[in-house]
Amino acid sequence: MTTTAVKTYEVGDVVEDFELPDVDGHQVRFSDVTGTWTLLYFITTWCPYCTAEAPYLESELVAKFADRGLKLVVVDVKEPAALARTLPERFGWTSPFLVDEAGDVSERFAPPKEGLPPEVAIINAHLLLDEDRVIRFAEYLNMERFDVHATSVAASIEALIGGVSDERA
Amino acid sequence: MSEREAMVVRTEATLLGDVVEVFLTVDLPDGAHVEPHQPAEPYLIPTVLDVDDLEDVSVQYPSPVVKDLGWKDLRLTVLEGRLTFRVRGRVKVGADRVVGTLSYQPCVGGACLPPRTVRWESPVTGTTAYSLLGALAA
Repeated sequence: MTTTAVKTYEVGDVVEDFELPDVDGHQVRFSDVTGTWTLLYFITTWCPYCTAEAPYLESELVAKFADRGLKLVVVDVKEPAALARTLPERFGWTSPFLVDEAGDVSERFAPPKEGLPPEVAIINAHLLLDEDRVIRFAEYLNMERFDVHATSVAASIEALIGGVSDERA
Repeated sequence: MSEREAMVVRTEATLLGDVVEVFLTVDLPDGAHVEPHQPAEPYLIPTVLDVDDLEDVSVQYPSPVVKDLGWKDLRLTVLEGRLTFRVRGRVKVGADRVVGTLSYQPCVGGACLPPRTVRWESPVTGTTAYSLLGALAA
């Protein structure tokens, strides 16, 4: 049997449109749920970094840039919908939440990390896409600089899409 | 399971009357850790040792160490290196082994991996009147 290496996305690449089901099994086309700016986030129920950051992701990080057109799209990696759905329920997310049970879509976004399968390497990744679905920045999990408020991600977003709404003159 | 996340499990079970005492030893590779039984934060996945077919079971978990993982504002307690779990419980008459599971989430090389459960078993050593009676009754 032969295997073909998957070409993975890098910053500057255009993300091809794709479809994945939501937690209720409804097919969702990615381009239908993106915004002027889209923060694409990859998660699993067993990822401690993700569940540490989750309470702040939508209500703090994304809300901070909502008036700049930032939307959140979350992709659960390689878990069944019945398990994945516990995440938006638990954290009260209203953003699109897609279930990549096979992991095929997520694999395209996974950075090469020695010794880690793509479905692990992609977990807790933040990718910012513009309205043409061009990846403008990507930040992957780094245990050495992790913080639950994703401060460095916020700073990168701010640098790319402009000032934050709560800045005072 | 790859070599760098492998956990070497050794067990030793000794019968003391009708109580069996099991020492289960686990070696984590350098740079790897698992969460303690009572993690520092609710979103962390605890290490859990379960035992089948014992009564009045008590499990003594290894003590965690405080580790600064670089997480902003967080210092976590983890298990690393050589871990020893001590289990005590009343064994059923005639039982010649103790079996159970160990569930944990390994974190290694800057990433946490999916949780896993391994099954372990240990033959019971030591002869007592209790176990001899059990064998005769079997």
